[in-house]
Order: sequence, then C-alpha cells, then structure tokens
Amino acid sequence: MKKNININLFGTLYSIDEDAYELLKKYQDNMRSYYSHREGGEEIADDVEHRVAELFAELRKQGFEAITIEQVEEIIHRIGDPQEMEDESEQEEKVFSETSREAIDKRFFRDPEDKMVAGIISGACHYFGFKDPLPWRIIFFLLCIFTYAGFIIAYLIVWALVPEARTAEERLKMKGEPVNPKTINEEIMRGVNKTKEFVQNPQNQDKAKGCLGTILKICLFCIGGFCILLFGSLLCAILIPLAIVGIVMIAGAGSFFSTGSIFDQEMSLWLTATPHWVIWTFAISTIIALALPIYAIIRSMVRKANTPPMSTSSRVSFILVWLLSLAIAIACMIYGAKMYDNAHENFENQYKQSKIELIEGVKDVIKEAKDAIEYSIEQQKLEDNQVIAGKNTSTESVPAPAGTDSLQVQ
Amino acid sequence: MNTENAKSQMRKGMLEYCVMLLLHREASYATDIIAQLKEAELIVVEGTLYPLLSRLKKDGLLTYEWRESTQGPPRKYYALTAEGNEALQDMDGAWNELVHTVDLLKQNNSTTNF
Repeated sequence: MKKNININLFGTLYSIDEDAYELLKKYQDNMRSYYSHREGGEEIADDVEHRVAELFAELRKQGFEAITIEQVEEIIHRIGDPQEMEDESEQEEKVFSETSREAIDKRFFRDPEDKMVAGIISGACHYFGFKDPLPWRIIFFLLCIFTYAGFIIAYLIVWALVPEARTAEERLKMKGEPVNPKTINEEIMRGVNKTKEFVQNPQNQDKAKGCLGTILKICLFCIGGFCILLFGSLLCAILIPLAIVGIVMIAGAGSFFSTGSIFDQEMSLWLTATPHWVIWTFAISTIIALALPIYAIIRSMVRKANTPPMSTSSRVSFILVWLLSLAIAIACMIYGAKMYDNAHENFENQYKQSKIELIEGVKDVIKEAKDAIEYSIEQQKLEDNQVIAGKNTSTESVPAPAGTDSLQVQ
Repeated sequence: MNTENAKSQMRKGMLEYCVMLLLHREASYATDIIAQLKEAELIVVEGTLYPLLSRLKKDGLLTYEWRESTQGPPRKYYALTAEGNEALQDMDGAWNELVHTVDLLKQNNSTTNF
C-alpha cells in the first residue's frame, strides 16, 4: 500500500505514488539546477518536463492508473540525466577538462542527507576527510556551551554562507569524488535508491536523526524564539519612541523637547543637542539591524524542506546590509553620546554660570540693601546728633530761628 | 578493441545533421524527432536531443511554433530557418565528400586485399 499524490503536468492530472513523486522531483530539480547557469537552460528543463508528461500520458493509455517508482526510474533512464544529455561538442570539452583537472575539485557544501541542524558539521567532515561526524558534533556542542554560544553564532554565519549540496554534481564535489558522467549517474541512482528505502521504511528517519539531534533542534528552536523575542522587543522599544518623536516633529513642536514635558530633562537635552539626521539614521539602521535577524530566524523556522534556499549572493548581500546597518547604528550611537556629553557639559556650565550670576546678583542686591540701610542709619544718626547738639547748646535756639524768622516776617 | 566508443562518436557527429535533415523534410515536434532517431538507432538517451535543439535555435538555424494538440498540451513544432537550410546544404556537401572518401578508401582496401 502506498500513498498516492496527484500532480499537475501542463494542465493534466496524473496520479503518482509518493516515492515516485519524490524521485521525479529530485530528477527535475537536478535538471533545473544543472541547466540554470546556461542560456536557454530553463527551456531545456521545460522540454524535458513536457516529455515526461507525454510518457506519463502513454502509460495512462496503456491502462496504468497510478505511476510507480519503477516506471519513473525507467523514464529517467530513457531520457537520461543532464550530464548524459550534453551536446557532443560540450561533451568533448568536458572530457578534455576532466583529463586536465585530474586534481579533484573539492568544495565545502552542507550535507542535506546527513544532518542534525543544517549539515555543516557533516559537510566539514566530508571536506576534511573524516568519516564519522558524531564525535565532531559532540565536540562542537561542548564548544558551544563553553564559549557562551559564540560557536552558535559562528555556526549561523557559516549556515548562511555555505550552500547546500543539492545536485548530484555538488554532492560529488562535497565528497571530493571525481565529477564525470559515470559518477554523476551513480550518484543519482544512489539518491534514487535512498529515496526508495527512505520512503518504504519511514522509521529510517527517526533512526537516522536520533535523540541528540532532536534535543539540538529543540535548543535551536528555543534560541531562535528567544532571539525573536529579544530583537522584537528591542524593535518595539525603538519604534514606539520613534513614532512619538516623528509625530512631534511633524507637528512642528520642536520646543516640545526643550520643555521636556514627555521626556526627562536629559533626554530632551540629548534630542535637542543631536542633529535630526543623526537620530533618523540611527533609528533606521537600528530597525534594519534588528529586523533582519528576526526575518532570517522566522524564515528558517517556517521554511519547508522542499523550498529552495536563498542564493549565495543574496545571502552575502543580506549579511553585508546587516553588518552595515549595525555599524551605522553603532557609529550614530557613539556620535550621539558625544553630542550628549558636550551638551551636558554646556548645560552644566550654563547652569553653574547662572548659579554664580544669581548668587552675585543676590549678593549685589543684599549689598545695595545693606548700603541703603547703613546710609539711612547714618543719616538718622546724623540727624539725631544734630538734634541732641542743638538741645545741648540752647533749648530755645532751635525753634528760635523759626520763631525769629516768623517774627521777622511778621 | 573497443569499437563501441568509435561507433558512438560517429553517431554523435551525425546527429545534428540528421536532425536537420528530418526537420528539412517537415516541421515536427520533439517526440516525433525522438521516435525517428530511435528507430534509426542514432540516440539512446532521449534527453540528448533537447540541448541540441536549444543550441541550434540559439544559432538561428531553426525556430519553433506552438501548435494545439488534439491530446494533451500544445506542442512545440520545430522547423528550419533560411539560415538553417543554407547550413544544411553546406553540410550536405561535407557529407557527400565524407561518403566519397570512405567509398574510395573501401575500394582501395578491397583492391589491395583481394
């Protein structure tokens, strides 16, 4: 008993066994990736797909309701794998280049067939010629713990940069085996048998992965979730004030900051001291620097196994953009901090200055007041003395002049 | 003595010429061409034809048009262009020369051997 799927080939539905479908898909993917670098390659792959559809239609005419893996295998042998399909002229070139580069072209690929997380360790083992990746996995796991997840970050970067060995040719290169039509065909047929085995015996999957892999996967999932939470909350922490600042700026209430009614005084000081473009650059670059990892993590969590991975060039540009935005954000932060320092100093100086001025002003006032009081006291004393002196000389003499004057007037 | 390799090289060398001959006779679609080539035992692996057609098309020797099919999806019918016909004539000449040379060699052989 086998599970059966319906596939749509150029508008016609065909029933096909699940394992046969897996094999066909592998064949098609291999074909497409093989011809993807060539002009008109897409068309060749399409033509092959047309041919497959025709052969399926023939089978249906013969009375087969569901296509089996044996039939797909036969079709693949009939049409041939991409290497066999090569033009004669190009074949010659291939033969020539094969003899000229007997030195085997070995490259670092991630191994999709033997993986716990992304197949980097097993890929590295293929590259360096170790047979069993398990001890290396354990060493790596321990390293991850002892370096406080430093190695996990390294792993993630390598994950992003190293492509997966998806085609037969890439798998051969990964293992350091010579690449020629024969080995490629063997590799494809090995993949075919593996698919067969794999589908016929679903427990294989559990056996192959083991519990360490599951634990590692759960750990990574948790780390991913944690990162999303962390970056997400940071993102919110940036976005919300930014929105407020934006609204305030649009409203044109620049003085809003200086009054410091929302933010505390230091914050408003910083905002007024730093040029606006610095704030905006900082905000945008920080948002990019935070949002990219979130996107990457969510993508890797949600991505289905069959969807093609990102191309190397887009990965590299992703990482470059991320590093750039991070650098800009940090630079803006340093610049802003400097501006704040200056502003703070100015502010303090001004504050001191105004304090001194105030005190001196008060002192002046006090001094003046004192002077005025002293003056008035002196004046009073003088008058008093005069009065006393007058009384002493003649008690009547003081009113006398007035009296004499009045008398004289009279 | 491995004659297989030499024989397959011969067939490969002829393949392009034969495909063009077929298309010169009538416009046809890939499956027809494959069937005829297989009958003549010129190809084993069917897929060989597709890169060949793609290259000839790129060189401007042939074009194709989509035609509705009574059964299944529309089909690509390939036909030679004017340039393709010229190339074919050129190849005809080369082929005749080859045949002539081979005939001569055979005659020489037969006269010396017997």
